[in-house]
Amino acid sequence: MKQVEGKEKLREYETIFIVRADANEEVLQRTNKRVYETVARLNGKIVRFDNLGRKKLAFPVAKNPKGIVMLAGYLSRDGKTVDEIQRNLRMQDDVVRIHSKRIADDVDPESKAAVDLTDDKNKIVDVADEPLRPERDDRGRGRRDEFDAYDDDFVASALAEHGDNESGRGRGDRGGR
Amino acid sequence: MRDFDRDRERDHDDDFDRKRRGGIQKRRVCRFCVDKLPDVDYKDTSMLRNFISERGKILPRRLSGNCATHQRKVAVAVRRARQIAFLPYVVSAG
Repeated sequence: MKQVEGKEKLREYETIFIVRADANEEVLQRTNKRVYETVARLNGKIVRFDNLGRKKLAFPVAKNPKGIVMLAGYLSRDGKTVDEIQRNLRMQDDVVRIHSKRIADDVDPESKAAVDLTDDKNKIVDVADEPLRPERDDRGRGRRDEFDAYDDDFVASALAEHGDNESGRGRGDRGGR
Repeated sequence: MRDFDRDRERDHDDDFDRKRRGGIQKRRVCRFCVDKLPDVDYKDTSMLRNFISERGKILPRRLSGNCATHQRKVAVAVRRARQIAFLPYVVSAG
């Protein structure tokens, strides 16, 4: 790791993990505590820890359509902390998905405040389901929201055309009788 | 509506034909560059859903209008989102 003017710069990583939807708060607390302990043991620093709530997943994971999503962002000297967190999480039967990503290099550890594990992060909060596709109005146009600050007609019409091509039954292929 | 009904309707849709023949020049801009949006976040599923088809496939640049850099970032983000079950790998018919 780079040494700049005697100060050590760290890397920022984040790990997102999904806990079984039927797990109770005790399990969640134990898992979260384990992440904190692992980072602390390897001289890292947790700078973000969010409970994204129990939400519907795009497909069932571990036979459950829902999952409790937790997000941990931390500073570390190298990737060993990531390995260690992933190893620890894999040992937990209630953790069904783990995904880690490097966010930034050369982060000054003093520029980011440490986040403590508070009780509200161990609570299970249900999140409303997102629609699978953007809602369309009668004219088949795409949803208008803050993201569509420009003319979105092209994407909407392209989606309609593209979707038709993908319906799996083109001309001359009407399927078996 | 049955598929062939829809095809027939589409064939008689003048507006559709005009569009397909390129009569209307649609603006094809990279929304990330133009709107100076923050970098693509794989957790932001409502944004990423704009870049996948109804079947769950990643839309090509031809349709999404992204520049090469952002199309690459979107594609990686969609793949990440699939791994954590935020986006589907495939949407089955029916």
